[in-house]
Amino acid sequence: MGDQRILKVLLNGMLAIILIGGAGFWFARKSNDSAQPVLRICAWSNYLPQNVLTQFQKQTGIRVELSFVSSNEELFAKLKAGATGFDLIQPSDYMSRQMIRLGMLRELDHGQLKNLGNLMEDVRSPAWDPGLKYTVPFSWGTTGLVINTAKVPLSPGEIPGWGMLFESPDPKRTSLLDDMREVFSAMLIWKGSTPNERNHQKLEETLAGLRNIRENILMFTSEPRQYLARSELNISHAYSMDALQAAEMKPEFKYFIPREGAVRWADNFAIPTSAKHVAEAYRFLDFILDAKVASELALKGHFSTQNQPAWDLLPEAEKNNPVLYPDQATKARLYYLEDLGDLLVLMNRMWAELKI
Amino acid sequence: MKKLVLRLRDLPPSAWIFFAWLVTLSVLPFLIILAMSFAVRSESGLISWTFTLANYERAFHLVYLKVLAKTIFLSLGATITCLLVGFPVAYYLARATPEKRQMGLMLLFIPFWTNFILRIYGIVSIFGNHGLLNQTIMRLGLTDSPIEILYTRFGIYLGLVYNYLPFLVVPIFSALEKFDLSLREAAMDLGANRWQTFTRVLLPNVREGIAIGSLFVFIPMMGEYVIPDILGGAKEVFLGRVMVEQFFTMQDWPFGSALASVLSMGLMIAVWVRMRFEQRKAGPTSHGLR
Repeated sequence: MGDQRILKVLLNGMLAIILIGGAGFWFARKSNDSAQPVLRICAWSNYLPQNVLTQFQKQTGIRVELSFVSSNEELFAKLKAGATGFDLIQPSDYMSRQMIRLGMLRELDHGQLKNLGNLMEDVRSPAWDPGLKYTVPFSWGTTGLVINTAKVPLSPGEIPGWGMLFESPDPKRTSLLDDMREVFSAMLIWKGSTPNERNHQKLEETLAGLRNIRENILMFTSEPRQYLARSELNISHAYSMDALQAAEMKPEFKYFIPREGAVRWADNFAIPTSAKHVAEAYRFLDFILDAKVASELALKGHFSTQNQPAWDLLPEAEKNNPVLYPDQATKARLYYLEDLGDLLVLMNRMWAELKI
Repeated sequence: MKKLVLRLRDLPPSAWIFFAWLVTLSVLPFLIILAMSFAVRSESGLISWTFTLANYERAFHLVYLKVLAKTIFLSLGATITCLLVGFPVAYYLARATPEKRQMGLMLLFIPFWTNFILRIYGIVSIFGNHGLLNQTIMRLGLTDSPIEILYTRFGIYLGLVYNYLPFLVVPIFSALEKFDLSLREAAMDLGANRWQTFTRVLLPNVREGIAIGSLFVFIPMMGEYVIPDILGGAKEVFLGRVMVEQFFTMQDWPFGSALASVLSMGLMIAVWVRMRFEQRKAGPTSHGLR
């Protein structure tokens, strides 16, 4: 019987703790909400520096709470698992399409975005969101090569190709991204195909090619910067933003869009249907569409802006950077990744087979 | 059912907490995973609740069987290495004076006060191509180019053994601690040599500790994915990694669930068979000489 009494005390105690804690939490949230307007943004890291957020708060009185995700799929999973705290999210090209199809994004009222006209002509109607009904294009970039030119000398003006990875001049200091689609895309482009190749035979050949070089490279990693900094890697398959941030620290690191072509990606802002602070979200969207703000963000974040007056404000060196604003011929060799549908099952298996 | 309810009532409150813990954090999640493994991945990346066995068909594809075989091979190798390294450590600790014993156990666990990821990067800073070890031997002129330890299969081994060793030492240590040393003397007196004493007297008495310790390290090793990623350069496939990828990058939860279910059920069957085997063997001779 003594046990039962102890159990009762224990259970009552637990109940009391839950009630008190819950009430405290509820009050804390309530007072938080009423004190100051908030905006909860879920973004990629390195995109929104603190000083820009502070500037926004000064202008509008809205406090931004920033949280990060490391992949589109993680963002998707969070929203689907019922995370309702986000007012603004940053899905990439293919994820925007998926979210629009599933009705996860709020249709935009263009009347509330007076700066929307700043967007360049060619991004007004992207494939994933014709007419920009749900998304606001923010940035774009590529997936290419970063090379430590102090260790791997290049002839002046030379634009290296994907052979740098697959017939590397410094094999044990070379890395590939740890990302199925990107790795297959690189090999496919090198072999003269495109990243959205659907032919099984071609994919099998790609796998065979990748298996052959697996032992030559040092590693697969999606975070090559730390290894580059220590010279453990001299040639890396990397996203342009990461690579250009590394290049800012050490000028001998150079980023290239390989001459055969590359994968192009774009990040957009969108308001999820579950957003609670919609008015604040619109204000923020309009704020980052402002020419000065967009220009500063692009310069600091090392991505290509989609905003015409923001581009006009950029320093000449940035405007003439061929990896950020490539010429038409290069642009024609950039590919967005398409949804491969059922083919993913096969590719998924190949990705495992590559590492057996 | 009635019997079960009655039995639950008889349990002390502490067992209730454990029981609630087990159900909500172990059994329930497993059942959810099991249910998802029979569902279909809808085109949009969601789960559609239509019954299918296709995920299992995929999971038993030759490629994934090879992945499983490789994972077992690497984990088993690391477990055996842990045993070879860990047994003498446990033996020493069990025989040491109380002060030394306490000191030894503390030293064994001090690294675990640090975050797991940090410990793994610690290994990188020691064994990396530009790490302490390689810099030292290159300064000494023993070699011109660094010895490649990391980003190889050996790197994975090293990480697994380093990280799981204490979890194997402790169960063996507690088994050895209970072992009556006079049995060893008796065996020697009766003419057994050192090897015979070890294999016929000592080992049978600590078998349970060895088995539990081995399972403690082998099972989590199978699901490991951080160590193969960071120390193996993600060049070797591990079942844990393939599963994680299904959830976080491929958006194929049903297939990930099928892989997880196959692994969990396989391990459960293995443990169950072993328990049956032990029960049959258990008898009056289990603690004596054989």
